[in-house]
Amino acid sequence: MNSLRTTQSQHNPGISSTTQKSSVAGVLSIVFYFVFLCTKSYATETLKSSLDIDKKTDAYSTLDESKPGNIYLFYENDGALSEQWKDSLQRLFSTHKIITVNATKHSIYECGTAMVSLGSDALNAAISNYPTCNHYAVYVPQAQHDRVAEKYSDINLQTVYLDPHPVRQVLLGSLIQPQSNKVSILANSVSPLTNLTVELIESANLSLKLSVDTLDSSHSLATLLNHSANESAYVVGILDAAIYNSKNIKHILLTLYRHNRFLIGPTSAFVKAGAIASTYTTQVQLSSQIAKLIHTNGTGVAGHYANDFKVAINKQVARSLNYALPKEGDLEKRIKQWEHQNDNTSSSDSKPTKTDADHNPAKGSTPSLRTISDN
Amino acid sequence: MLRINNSHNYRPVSLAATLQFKRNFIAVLFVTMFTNVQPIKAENSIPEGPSSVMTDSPQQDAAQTNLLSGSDSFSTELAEELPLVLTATRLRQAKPDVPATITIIEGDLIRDLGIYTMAEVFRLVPGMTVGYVRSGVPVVSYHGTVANEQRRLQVLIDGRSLYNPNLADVDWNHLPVAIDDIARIEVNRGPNAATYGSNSFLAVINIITVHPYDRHGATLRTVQGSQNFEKYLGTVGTGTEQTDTFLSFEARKNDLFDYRRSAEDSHQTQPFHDGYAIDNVNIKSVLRLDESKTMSFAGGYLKGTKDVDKYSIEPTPESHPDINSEDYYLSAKYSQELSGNHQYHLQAYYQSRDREQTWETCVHPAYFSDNLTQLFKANNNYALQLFSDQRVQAALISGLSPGLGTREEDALASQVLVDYLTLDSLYKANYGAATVCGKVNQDISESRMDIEFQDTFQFNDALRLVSGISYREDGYKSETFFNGSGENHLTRVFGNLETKATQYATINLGGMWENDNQNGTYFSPRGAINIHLTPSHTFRFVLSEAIRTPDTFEQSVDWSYTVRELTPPVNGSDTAVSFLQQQSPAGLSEEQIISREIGYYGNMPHLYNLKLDVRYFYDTLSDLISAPLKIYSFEPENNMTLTQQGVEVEASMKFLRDFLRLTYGYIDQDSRYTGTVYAPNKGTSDNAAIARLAVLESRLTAQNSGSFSWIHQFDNGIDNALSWYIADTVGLFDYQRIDWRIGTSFPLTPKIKLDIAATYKRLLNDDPIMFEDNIYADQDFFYLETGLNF
Repeated sequence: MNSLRTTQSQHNPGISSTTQKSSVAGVLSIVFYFVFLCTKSYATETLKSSLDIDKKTDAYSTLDESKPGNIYLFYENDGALSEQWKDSLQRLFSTHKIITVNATKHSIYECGTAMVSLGSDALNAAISNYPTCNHYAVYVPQAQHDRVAEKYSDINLQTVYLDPHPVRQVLLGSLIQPQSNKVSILANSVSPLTNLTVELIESANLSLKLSVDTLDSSHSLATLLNHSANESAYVVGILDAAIYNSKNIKHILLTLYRHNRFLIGPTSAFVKAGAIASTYTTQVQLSSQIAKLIHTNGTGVAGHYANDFKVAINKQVARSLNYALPKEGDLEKRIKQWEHQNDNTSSSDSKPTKTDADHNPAKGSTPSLRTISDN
Repeated sequence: MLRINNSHNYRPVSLAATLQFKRNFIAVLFVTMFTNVQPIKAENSIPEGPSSVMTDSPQQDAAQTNLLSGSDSFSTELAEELPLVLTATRLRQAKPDVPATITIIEGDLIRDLGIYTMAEVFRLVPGMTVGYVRSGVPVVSYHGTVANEQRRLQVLIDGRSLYNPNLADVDWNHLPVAIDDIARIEVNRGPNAATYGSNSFLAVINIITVHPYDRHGATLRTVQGSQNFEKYLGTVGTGTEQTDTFLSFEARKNDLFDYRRSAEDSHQTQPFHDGYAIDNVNIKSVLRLDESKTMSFAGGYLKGTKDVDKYSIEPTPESHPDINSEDYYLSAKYSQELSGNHQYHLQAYYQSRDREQTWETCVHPAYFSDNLTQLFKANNNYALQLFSDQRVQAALISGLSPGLGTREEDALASQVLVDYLTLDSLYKANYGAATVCGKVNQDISESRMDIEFQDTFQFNDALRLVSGISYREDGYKSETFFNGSGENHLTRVFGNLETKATQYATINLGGMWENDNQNGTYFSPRGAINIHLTPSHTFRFVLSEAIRTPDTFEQSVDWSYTVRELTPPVNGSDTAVSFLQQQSPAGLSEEQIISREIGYYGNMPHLYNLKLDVRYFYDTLSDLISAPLKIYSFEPENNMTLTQQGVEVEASMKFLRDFLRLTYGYIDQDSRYTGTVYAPNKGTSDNAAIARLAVLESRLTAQNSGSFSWIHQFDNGIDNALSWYIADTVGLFDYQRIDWRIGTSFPLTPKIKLDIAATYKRLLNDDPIMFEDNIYADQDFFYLETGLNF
């Protein structure tokens, strides 16, 4: 394998491994290269058949920590992020080598113990190049995860969505504006994403009237926004790029603010842009969840909402909208308390299958925001 | 001494040229702003926010910003549009930081409660009272004082002042805005000359209209109701990437009161001619030049008629002296962010206001007697009593002094009597009656050009400064009131410094320096400290001073009535000037107010969103010009001091489907006469006259007033609103009314929505409204609304 890695490094100088490099003569290179191709083909086939077995049995196998291996970290264009992930995973997998790979520029020639993709582009590249490996993804919107799952039928992919859990987002909105009973979701059109969001929120039984306002039922974004602002107490953002993009975000925020309404940001980046608040998951929290997924070594395709989270508030916006909000930690505590009382979202993480309760945080429960608020 | 219509004094050519120059100036300004301003890259910054709180997840942020490239940080433009309180200081401030008591009335609340006319909105504001004077002319005040010619409120629409400095008042029925187009109204309760200059005396009303982006699509709406109330509204809005435009047309009419006291018998009534009708079109456009520069335009045209009952004028005209109005305005505002902490705007507007009021009058030919004119100028009372009191005439015929004036005035009065008898005989002999008829008017044209530069700079998280300079010209033209035309010039420099030295206190220091050619130079300061016990509980302590400058009418009136088309002619001419003439003594000082306030603002989201504002105030109003200024009696003087103190409460709560709002105001007012006009030996009924002034200064002052509103939203989409208004007392009577509105909306097609609503209003007593002339035939009123949105 050392020679193999050396060969990779020669052709892919961007790979940040600890492997020693050496110079070889031209003829020798060709020979090595030929050997490498044969080896790679054999290894892939072997791994593929092994994964097929796993899928057929739908079983979980625990990662054997005693066996050293490589965990590849695919990133898009943020090397600093990948370095932070590398450090985190290295702490969690001390016997493994964590190798960062620029997904759009470089290639590797084996399936590591785990292929962790940071972002949608990294995931696309990793899946298309190494469809037979065990993939894990973060910072990937749920919609993108679904597209990948639909495109590649026989893959192993565990994704922790970029999307915050919709119920958490609604809970956050209701803590900011207690006594609100109408919530709106803006979307380009009715989609699996909106359907799932509605399903999750409704199943949480939050005593809210939820409406999905779509562009295909309105003349324009302006009329859509004004309708939502008039009909709801606040808007919960979802990661629908056709709506929530740099072109629209100012219109969305300005229109809501003019109506004294607020936006729960689809992600924390939108809080920075002017949404009043959002739940988000830190890199440390995400890496911990990914580590657990790797340890459980699940197969098939499964999407997960983040187990753990924090709350981000745009204090300037909150103050402007005349909301006297508790500290972020208090809001986080109240939401977690609600989740704990209602068979919370994080408990579902141990069931990484595509259609299971991963998406269902609190079926049958009767939440009491008043109770949470008063605590 | 007979006044001849010296029309050359009107300088019509000069005025027209001046107006044309101003229009051109504004046009050039627009073009200049478009072409000369170089783009400056805005720097986004956020003093506090998630960028700092999420230090443990910057990478995640980075990973997410692909959706937000180019706009991933909180922009100043966004901050500019936040629904902060703007009126108090011109800085956009959160309510706990505002150095004043502010009531915010959302446009939706107005519409949900079934309020259809502008003046009625202000019954929702603690301490504000609404009344009707003359022929159903609405008047609004905060802390009351006079009703007729209520001059002590500043009213702004999108930054344009609608307060008329010449015939100082606000024409509430003719404001160039439809109620449906109001986004919100901010009422600064208390003086705020430090921010808006003179005449922001008792309160400042800032009407903010909807953003064009919020009105894409089209709307058709109609309201039909009691008193022949009719309203038709049509709006259309559209937009592109760079621009949004909104056009609104409103036609509205209302017959208002049914009856007034009979002119002949005060115990009887007669139909009251007091309605109005307006057509009002407004357009507003916002152009986003780039990320840091915005240009907005607005314009409007209003044409209307106001019914004026002929019995409200003496001598009683032959026809109702209705007023035809024609107003228009143009406005432009350019805003630019120089950086995340530095913005400025340049705003210019021009507005024109024309009122035509012509009526036919028939009087005795002696009305035009030169001797009578001289006697009236020398001694109003003598001249008036000469015609109304036969004992005066008898005394003069007998060669005795009636004791109404000096010996010279007695001689002049005798000569007037001779004129009267001579003309009486002459006209009866020649024309069969001693009456001449002709046309008289109270036409007036006013214009205003205003240009203002305002700069906002944030030194750091704890220190902000807004400052600016403005220049204004107010033109007027009226033969009757000013015997020609003229202009006033006003220059202003203003600033407000806000500092948050700690999280527990916000200090605001502000002031405005003004200079106008009519009243001189003055400075209005304000200081306030807001103590934030917690983010939810704030106490504020405010000390402010303000002035109201005497208007052109008080300071420079040259009032006379030229009667034209006289039949039969007088002195061989069909044009003559009546003896009723007044000229201002001038030299009036500005009215002053010192306001002291202790306030509390609580925002308790977890107590059913309770928002509670309590205000204690102790105000001293001095040098008030209290006397009513009429053609028969024109004696302006700074001669009253009022002390007002009281408590006001504004509270609201929001439940899942219910919204409750309560306002209450209590005021105690004392008055003290400080003048000389009604001092002993000046007249015959000093104490009564002084007491009368005190009464006039409390006409709109209701000791107790308030409102209660309850809005409930049913699950089936029906909205139900109940409201109750009380004012004890306004004018001569208590006012109590309940309103009940029920409405819903549903889609006719996926793109068309139908709104329907019905409103019932009931007066809880059968008293007239404010004065005995304002009588409704019924205590119940019904309205039906229908609207289409598509």
